[in-house]
Amino acid sequence: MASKVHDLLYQSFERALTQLEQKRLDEALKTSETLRREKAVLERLRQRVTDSSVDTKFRPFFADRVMSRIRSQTATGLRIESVWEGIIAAFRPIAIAATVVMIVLISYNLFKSKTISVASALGEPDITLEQVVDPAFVMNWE
Amino acid sequence: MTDEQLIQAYKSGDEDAFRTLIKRHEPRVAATVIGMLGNCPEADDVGQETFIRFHNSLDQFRGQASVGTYITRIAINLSLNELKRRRKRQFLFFSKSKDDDEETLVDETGGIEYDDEKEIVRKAIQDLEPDFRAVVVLRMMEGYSTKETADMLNVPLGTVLSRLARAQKKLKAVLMPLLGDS
Repeated sequence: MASKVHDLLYQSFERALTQLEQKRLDEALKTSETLRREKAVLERLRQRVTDSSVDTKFRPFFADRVMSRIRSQTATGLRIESVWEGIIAAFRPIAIAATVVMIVLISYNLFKSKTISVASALGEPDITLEQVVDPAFVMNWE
Repeated sequence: MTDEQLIQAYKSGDEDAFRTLIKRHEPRVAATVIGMLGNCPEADDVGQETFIRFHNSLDQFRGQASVGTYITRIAINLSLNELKRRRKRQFLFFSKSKDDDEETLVDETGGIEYDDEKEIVRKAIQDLEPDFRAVVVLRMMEGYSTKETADMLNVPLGTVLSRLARAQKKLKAVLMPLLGDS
């Protein structure tokens, strides 16, 4: 009960209490000297905290420092952008031709191998390791 | 000019418009960042980063919140990140964390070690855990409503209320001699 009233006291500084809550707090304040003292201490504490507000300025020329960082950030962004634009411009003329060549090669490989797989599309020969390496040679070598 | 007009002007190529926005919101950001991190060199860096992030998100800013609230949200989140980094660094180097510092504000005789009372209160706030510190800075120092504080920290309203209550209890315990009640 006492703790509830205590909570109400703290909350009374933060929000409007309901009629019932306010009545309960007022009655408790009337009867309890401790609670009245607590309220007074809380009021002083809150005032002290408000009064202790810190410096409201950073070091001098703060705005200039921020603007200079924004400018350099924008310049770096523009530089990166222009490098990308350069790369795109350089590759654009050959990109279409390269794509056409790639499609022709893939079609040719698929047609030649008569199977549909990534390996055959890339023109990889369909042979095993044993077919590549002569087993007799491997045994002699061991 | 309103903040929104300044943003439009900046988007149309007026660089000074953004400078004006920075100058207008610098006090708010400084109070938040210095309140969270203390007056240290990193505070200036976090302040700068706050405005750079705001600048980079101008296209996404649709005016759902006021510019001030939007910037403060960035500032508080960057400050919390910086505190996490600070703790990690301190953990890696096995040194005693400044945030965990058990240094008392009141000496054995009950007297106060600091001359400036405001400094004592600031030190007590700095010694709070970051989550508690954030609600104290936003709600009690900056004067945002509990709803705005909850939105900025992306936590439920109830969490803000309980953190505020716990933070005040901790502050009260440390600052009791200053509050004139034994």
